[in-house]
Amino acid sequence: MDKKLRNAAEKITMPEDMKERIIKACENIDKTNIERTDNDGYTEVASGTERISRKNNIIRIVSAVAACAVLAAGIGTTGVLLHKNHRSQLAGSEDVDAAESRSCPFGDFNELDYTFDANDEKYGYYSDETYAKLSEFLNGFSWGEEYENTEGRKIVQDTPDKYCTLYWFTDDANCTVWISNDGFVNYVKYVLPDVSEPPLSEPLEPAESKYYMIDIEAFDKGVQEILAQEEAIAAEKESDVSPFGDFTAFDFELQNGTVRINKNNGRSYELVADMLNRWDWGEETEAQPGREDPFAVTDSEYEISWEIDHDVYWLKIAEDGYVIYSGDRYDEDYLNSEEICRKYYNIEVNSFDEGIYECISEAESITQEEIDDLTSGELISAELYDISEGKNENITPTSEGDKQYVEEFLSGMFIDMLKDNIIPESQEDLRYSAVLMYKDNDKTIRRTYYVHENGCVVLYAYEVTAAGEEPITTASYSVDFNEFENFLVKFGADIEN
Amino acid sequence: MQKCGCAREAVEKYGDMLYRISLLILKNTADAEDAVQETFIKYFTKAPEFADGEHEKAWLITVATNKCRDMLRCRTRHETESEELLNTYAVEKSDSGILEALMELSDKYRIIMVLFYVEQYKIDEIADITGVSVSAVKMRLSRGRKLLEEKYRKEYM
Repeated sequence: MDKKLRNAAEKITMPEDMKERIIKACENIDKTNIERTDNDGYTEVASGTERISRKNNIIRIVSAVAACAVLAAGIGTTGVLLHKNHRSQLAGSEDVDAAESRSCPFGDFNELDYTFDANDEKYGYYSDETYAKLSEFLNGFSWGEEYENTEGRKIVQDTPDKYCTLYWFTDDANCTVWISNDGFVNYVKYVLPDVSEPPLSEPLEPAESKYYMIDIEAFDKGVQEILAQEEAIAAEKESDVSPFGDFTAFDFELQNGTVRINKNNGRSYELVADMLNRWDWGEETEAQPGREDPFAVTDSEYEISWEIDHDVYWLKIAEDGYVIYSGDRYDEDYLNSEEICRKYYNIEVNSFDEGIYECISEAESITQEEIDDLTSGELISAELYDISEGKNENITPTSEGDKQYVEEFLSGMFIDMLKDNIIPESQEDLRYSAVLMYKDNDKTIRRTYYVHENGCVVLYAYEVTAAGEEPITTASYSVDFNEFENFLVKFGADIEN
Repeated sequence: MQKCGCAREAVEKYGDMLYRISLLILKNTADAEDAVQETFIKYFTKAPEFADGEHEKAWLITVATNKCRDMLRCRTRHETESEELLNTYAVEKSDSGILEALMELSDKYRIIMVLFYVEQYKIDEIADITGVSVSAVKMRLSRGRKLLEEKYRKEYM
């Protein structure tokens, strides 16, 4: 399968016209690159690029943005798109003008959809948690009074003393705050030209420009503390592994008197592996007298074992929650071994037990995503048919009340009852069909579930068109047939005949 | 600013690879084009000095996958429709199943699977490129592989 995947993927190549567009865009960087020096000796360097795109309107939009970018940013179009992709809830963005009365002169960073580029080559790719902290910090930071005597000093982007850049977009403007290493802050706002107008030939002048001088040491301290947490947040997110290692990477087997789970159990196995990784095993404890040896524990409620290159590991969990973790290294022939580790823990075994059974139960249920798929659209009708022995008899109750109950059952509770464990389909067992019609936007969808007496349920979904029916999908599930019939009776369906 | 004048050479050399990765992650040709284009723009404006060809390649992949991840995040927030890959891209029918199955995996598995199985990076290299831990790469590979097998066998065989 691995080779098949690779072979299939390798056939994907970039279309020639796309390649040409990209080459042209890259070559245009050279043409639009501008360098100029201010009177005060500070150098402005900006990289603009004409973006060659599939859509004419995009060309106009980006040309306009690029025109701003020529003056506005070393981040150029890259930054524009980086921003667009990074946090793009423009609708919720707030114009700076509306927020000038706040303590932060640039607006409420909790509301602004901004990118914080700390000049650390991460280009503002931080977690939402970090952005929340940055917003809090930026809002509360003392930016001081607007600094009027700039002595000709203006934009500091792309100069070696740049500390960081913040930028965001509103519906009609591009706002940027540059902060230099000495605390000089320059805020500029460019109002974007109307995209219906032709691209500008001249760079835009800022609609607004402000300057501040901040305590850069305090600013840096606050920022570095927050960014240091970013690594911890990332590590925490990825470190969901047990003290014994990552169960999702092991080929383990878990068993107790009634349960045996290994990699053949698919989803249960994955869920149990996750649970074992997340489980709070607590601190290592001392061995209990007389129960030091793993083989001395004979009341194991659970035994979990796995092997890594001739190292065989055991986790034995006794009825009272006493846990022995041990590992033995075997030779090539598995004839001799030496112990390589042994540790002891104590856990709450009933919760562990419940967790395992929850995993098994969850693995059998269909996912919420599947349920959403199966119930997508507006229900038009739900009918029940008796299709046993070649019949095709509509047995949906005719009385309004019962009809509604059965409709609600078939379109709701019945779907929730479906499980993922597939039971072989057998024509002799065919008993009912539930035909559910949905309106999904302008489409009419028919989902028919064939329910077998052995619990097998097969779904066929079609799109109903004027020309006929187009199959959309098919899927197999199972259901507790007795429970299904009990509900039908309860809701007034006549299934006795 | 660097490497200008050799845009064609760079796009010819790395374009297919970056496009393949972006398309498999984003499942949308237009977005993939955006991701590749922005990657090359960054390459010509912001790329550091590279130690060797592998370093350069890994840098490009890192930038491209970061862009793809951002686009996916943006897509989640804005409910952008992804297109049916095979409707817009001519993949041979015999290959469609495995790619379709791959497309159905969640993003975090798909990125790792593409780098491992398609671009044949080692686990530690993938960890460097994607910025996730080695154990997380292993975990995602292991789970992703199982999910892919399951989906492929269930739906396309």
